Amino acid sequence: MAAEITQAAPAPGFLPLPCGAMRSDRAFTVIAWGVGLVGLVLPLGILGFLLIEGMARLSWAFLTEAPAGFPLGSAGGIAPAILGTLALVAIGLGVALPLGVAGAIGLVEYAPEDSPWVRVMRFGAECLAAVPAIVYGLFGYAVLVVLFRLQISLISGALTLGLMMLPIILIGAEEALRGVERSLREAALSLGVSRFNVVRRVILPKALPGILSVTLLAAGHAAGSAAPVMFTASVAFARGTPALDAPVMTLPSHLYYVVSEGADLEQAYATALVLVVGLLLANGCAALLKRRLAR
Amino acid sequence: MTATEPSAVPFSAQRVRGRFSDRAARLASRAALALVVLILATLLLLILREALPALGSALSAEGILRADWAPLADPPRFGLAHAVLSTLMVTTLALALAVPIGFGIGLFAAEFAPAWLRHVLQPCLELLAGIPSVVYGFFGYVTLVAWFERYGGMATGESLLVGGLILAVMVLPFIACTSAESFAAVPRALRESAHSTGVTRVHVVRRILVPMALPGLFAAVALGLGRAVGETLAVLLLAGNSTALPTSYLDRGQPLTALIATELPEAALGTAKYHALYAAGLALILLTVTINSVVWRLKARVMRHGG
Amino acid sequence: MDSLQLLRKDTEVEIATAAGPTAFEIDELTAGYRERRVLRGISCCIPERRVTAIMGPSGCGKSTLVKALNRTLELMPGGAVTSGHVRFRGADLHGPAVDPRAVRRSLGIIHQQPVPFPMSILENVVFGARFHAICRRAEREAYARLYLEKVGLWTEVKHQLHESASRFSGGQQQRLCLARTLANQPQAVLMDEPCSALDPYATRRIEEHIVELRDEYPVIVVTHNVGQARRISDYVLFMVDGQLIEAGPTAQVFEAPQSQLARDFISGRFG
Repeated sequence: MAAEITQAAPAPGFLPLPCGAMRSDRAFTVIAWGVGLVGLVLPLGILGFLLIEGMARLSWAFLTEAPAGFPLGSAGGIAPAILGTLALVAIGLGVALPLGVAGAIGLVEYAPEDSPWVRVMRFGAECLAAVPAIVYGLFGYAVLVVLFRLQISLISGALTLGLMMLPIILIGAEEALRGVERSLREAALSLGVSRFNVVRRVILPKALPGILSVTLLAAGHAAGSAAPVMFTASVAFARGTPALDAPVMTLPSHLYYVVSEGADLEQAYATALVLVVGLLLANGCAALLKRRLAR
Repeated sequence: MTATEPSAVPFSAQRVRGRFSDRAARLASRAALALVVLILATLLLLILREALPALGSALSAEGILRADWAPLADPPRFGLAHAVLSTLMVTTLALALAVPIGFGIGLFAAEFAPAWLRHVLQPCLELLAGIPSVVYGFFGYVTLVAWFERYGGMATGESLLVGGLILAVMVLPFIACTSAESFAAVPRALRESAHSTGVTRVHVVRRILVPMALPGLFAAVALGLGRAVGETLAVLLLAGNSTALPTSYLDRGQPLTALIATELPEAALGTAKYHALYAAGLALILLTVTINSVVWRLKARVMRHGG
Repeated sequence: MDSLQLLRKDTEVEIATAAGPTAFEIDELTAGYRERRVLRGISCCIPERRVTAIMGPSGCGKSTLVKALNRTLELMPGGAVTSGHVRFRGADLHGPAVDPRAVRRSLGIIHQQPVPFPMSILENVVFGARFHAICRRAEREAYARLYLEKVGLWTEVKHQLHESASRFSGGQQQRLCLARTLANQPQAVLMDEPCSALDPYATRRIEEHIVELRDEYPVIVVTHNVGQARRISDYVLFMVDGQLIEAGPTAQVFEAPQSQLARDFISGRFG
């Protein structure tokens, strides 16, 4: 068998490649570029659509007035919804950020490396970060609204959103802390100072951009989801400044109510634009922070 | 304070600062962790407790897995069959579209795109991932639904088809980014040696990149699946919210998440309806935990490859 | 005769008579990565069926040069030839009708790190050959055997042809890569520090193969190891900072280096 195989004599120049392979390569390249363009056109198209349709209907009054008209939302503005969303996310962060960062410090600095507990916690946190937003709504409803009798209110919604942000912040902060070079930690500890001092003076400042970045991402995620606040905090209309024990309006749920009533979508375009631009700003800042960290 | 004189002070005699703060910090961080665990355990147990009454006879003809949703019947029936089927249908459609396109984008970003294009593509995909669910619902409502109403000859444009299409757009960035990462994680040296044998790119992709990136690609699909199953607002607005059992993609339907969102505000505490909705929530939790353990395992394998 | 002149382009005729026919002609080659110029006008000729060593301190551009010789430089981020020509047996590598993949196939390269592909040993050997339709599916075992024997791996692996190569030692992996390159039926073999990741024993085996290859192919070996260049090469190119400082038959360069830099490098005072 082996004897049958002969080596080709060295030919001058370079042998051409198999013809079929060249054709399939060309086809493949064309398809890859086509699909890649989809990845560009789709997001830019959606954003462009919202920008063009929304800008035409956006005004200063829209941002500063309460909704009006019948059905509600066909006139007026979305000021209470903006305030409500901000209040929900701010209070939620007030709970989730300290808990998440403290938990992450516990996992990274005060737990033995590679202990099964750390792995279990990470796994649990990742599962919880993946649990659909509506499940948090179910939980918030059963525990906060019903069990603790907080009613449908700003505080119920904020705590629900806080719970939703907690695993995301915990995982992100843990990664940011672990990302700090080992040599830095060892050098600081070798000076004989306490671990807490090292964390506070060396590790945390180094990990801060990463923690801020993931916090912004989590906040954006929470601000954009209507599902957890639908049963815990939001109503179709609320007036004045948000109060802890009263229901609030939020941007995403307002958009949902307006669309599901289906009467007049004119205002919905502008609402969607405000929501998207706000979230993109948050995400953009998060991405910038992350890039700065990478450098 | 440390000794100022060089005279031999035994280590044990030196006072070390920060012992107290260290202990306090350790305690505080442990307490935070314990609180996290406690909250999460409560979440699971509570939803399980509220779901349990509905699980007892799940498989009987009257149970939640087989019956239809007929709250006005006598006795009322609260079956999830239509919701499970709707979820399956929209998810299948969404993944059937998003997986090939997402892999394509991932491959393009990792292998074909010049550097500048990659730097544009990445934020674009992040943009797609950052748009909230309700805005996708709105977008689908004013584009696809309107289009189907005008040209599709349908009374209402809302259907599982539209829900699945928008869902595909929503999970696309997650699949694309995860697959791009796993393609990019294939060691450069491997890629270069493969290219230096003079084979075409399609050959390198097929024989080297895809086999190496396979666990990551599976993880991407699992991640997309989890997202698609859990999406609420978009399918709530687009799938039609009909409690009838769907028979085709042009029918209206009501995925599990949409069912919960629609019915919970009207479910009185402790009723069969209430428990059925929590059973739907429990199903979502179990599904995401299963998916996540698969992803967890695949990720571990990818890391071993990389290391 | 000035040895620096020997391999220089303007005395091409002389070298053709002195060292046999020419395989590579390199003419004022400049190349680099993005803004960084690594090669600054290299001109020389590399003879047929001899081992030519390219040596020099690290960072002098020897790897870049050898990668430019089979157009794998373009695979590196930003890597490109900016001006000049490389001809192999008279054919311009960068000619308009030349497919870079055809060049890579004809001028095989071995990298510093042995990189077995994630497939069976057999598939590894015939990876390129199957693609280029050199060997048919039915005969790939016999074909692979031919090249595994050539690199002395056959007896070691004949019972595990269908297993992964990842458990191989570094030396075995490098010989597998050599078999893979030879199975492509190249017309020249380029090696980019093929032994720098290997232990001395494995190094010796690779060096033996290099010397054997000389009978069939022009061989170019990049090395920073002065001893290795002396052991295996017939000709030496000595580079510093992207420029060719000295070139000539190995014995001549080692015994009577013309430049101070080469003298220092060979004696270990520099590099």
